[in-house]
Amino acid sequence: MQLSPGNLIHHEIIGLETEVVDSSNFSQIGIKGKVIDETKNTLSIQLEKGLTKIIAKSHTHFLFNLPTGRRYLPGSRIQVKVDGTLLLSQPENRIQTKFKKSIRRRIDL
Amino acid sequence: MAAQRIRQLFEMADEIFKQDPMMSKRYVYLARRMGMRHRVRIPAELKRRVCKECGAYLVPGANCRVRIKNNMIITMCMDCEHLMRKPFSKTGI
Repeated sequence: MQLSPGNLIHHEIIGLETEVVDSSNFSQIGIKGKVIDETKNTLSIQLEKGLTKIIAKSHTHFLFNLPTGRRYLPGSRIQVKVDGTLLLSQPENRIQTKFKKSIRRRIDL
Repeated sequence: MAAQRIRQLFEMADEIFKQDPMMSKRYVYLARRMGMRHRVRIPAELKRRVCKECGAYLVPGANCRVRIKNNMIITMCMDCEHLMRKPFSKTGI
């Protein structure tokens, strides 16, 4: 199954480009980089300089850049804003997590 | 989808190995856990790239030694010096 905005929360997040757009910790807003590791409660993001920051998933909104494939227009950029609480589980358990419809709407396209 | 994610994780482990071997070990660990959880087998060609003892990602020439002896592929992990033996037969000759 190809990575798409609909199945992002069930898919592999390590390796994607991301940015912290909203957080209860104001100093974390604007952190931009590549996700290199994932645990149950945190994502570790590698900045361009080489530093790594560990960021809690809860109370945080992430803006993911999806890699463009053949399916979408070439050159177009697809960004998905995800509430971090939807990602709150271990990476191997995220495949089968189910959410109610009302929560699913919180994934902005 | 689990099988696809396992392959992705192994690809990333291969990419990151030059800079950070510990991180590739972590990716392999995640891939193995995903296989166990969803009862998906790790493909045979990727299975022999992992040390069965310490779980390290093995790259021939960097951290493992591959030799052929007595119709067996013998892979030695240079981190923990564990030997993995895999027999093969000379069919098709």
